[in-house]
Amino acid sequence: MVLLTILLMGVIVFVMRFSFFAIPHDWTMPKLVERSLPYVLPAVLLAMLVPGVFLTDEGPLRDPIYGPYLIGVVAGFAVGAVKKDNFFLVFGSSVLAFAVAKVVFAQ
Amino acid sequence: MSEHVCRQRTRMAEFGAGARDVVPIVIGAVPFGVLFGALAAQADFGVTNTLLMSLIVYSGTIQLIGLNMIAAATPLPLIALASVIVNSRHVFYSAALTPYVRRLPVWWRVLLSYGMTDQIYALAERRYSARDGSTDKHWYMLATSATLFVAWFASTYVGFAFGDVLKDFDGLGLDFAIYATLVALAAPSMDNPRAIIVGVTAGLVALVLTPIPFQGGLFVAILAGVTVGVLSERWLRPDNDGCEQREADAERGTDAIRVQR
Repeated sequence: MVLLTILLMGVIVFVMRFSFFAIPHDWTMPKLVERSLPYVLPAVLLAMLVPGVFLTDEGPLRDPIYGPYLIGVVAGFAVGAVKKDNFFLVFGSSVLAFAVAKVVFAQ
Repeated sequence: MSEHVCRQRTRMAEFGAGARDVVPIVIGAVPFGVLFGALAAQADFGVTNTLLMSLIVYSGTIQLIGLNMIAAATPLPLIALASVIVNSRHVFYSAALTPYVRRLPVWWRVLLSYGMTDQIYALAERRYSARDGSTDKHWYMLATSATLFVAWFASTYVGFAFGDVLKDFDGLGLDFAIYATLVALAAPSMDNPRAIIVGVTAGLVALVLTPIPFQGGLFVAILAGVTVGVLSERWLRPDNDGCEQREADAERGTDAIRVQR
């Protein structure tokens, strides 16, 4: 039964991921769907980022709300505003700011 | 130098770049994989079932939710419903990448979709959006997803085998690597008012809808952000002459005429 459940879950996940990939290449995507595609990436990234920054894994707001998570993210975006195409610089700046803030807030 | 050799080099370069760019995501994913493995061991799930879950399902959130539901003897239809809700956002990813991969053989599309997690989608979208003329960007995506899969699978096993020893692993704040990765991926796209409006809308809706079970709020938040983006095309004037979008359309292989971001 456990194996059947795992298989069913795997099929569902795969079908979701493969859904549009299965469409024949000569099929024309509806204009409205096509117009919406450039907005998927910023929507996905911020939808995953914002709750994680402000909420703990258990649900309540982080205390303090302006703690290491927010500082790390703001620092990353600040560097990204200047050096937006340097993935590792933005990543490193964000992690560094988070680490420093974590040490400061721990004292 | 023959064309074949050049092509091989391009593919190797794409593969290498993908394996390199996914490293921050791996750093963030490993603790999550260890956590899943450790929880599976605690739930007496068995090493075979644990590894099969990471191999067949390969989706962190639903693996954790599914583990809890199986342990609680939840009926199969409810587990299936939870799987649909949690992973519904992947339909967006599939739609967004389809213009780039639609001409690949079906086995390539199967391979790429199997490994298309949240972060892999974001990395792939970023790479596909780069206008450098490469026709082998699917090798980049393959490298990112293959590397992350190996790390995920291995960390699941490590968590299962050594979960007790590594129980304080998460206290180091390694989970922030995921958020830093999201920031680094988001920063290049936040260069115009419309993208900022889309992101802020999706972020706020996701925050408000967090209490919805099985991360159901994520799907609604992405839908809200995308809808606001499309609607904002009426409110905000284009910020250049449209060349950028035409280049993007050409890269996607579409003839669509879209309103400029």
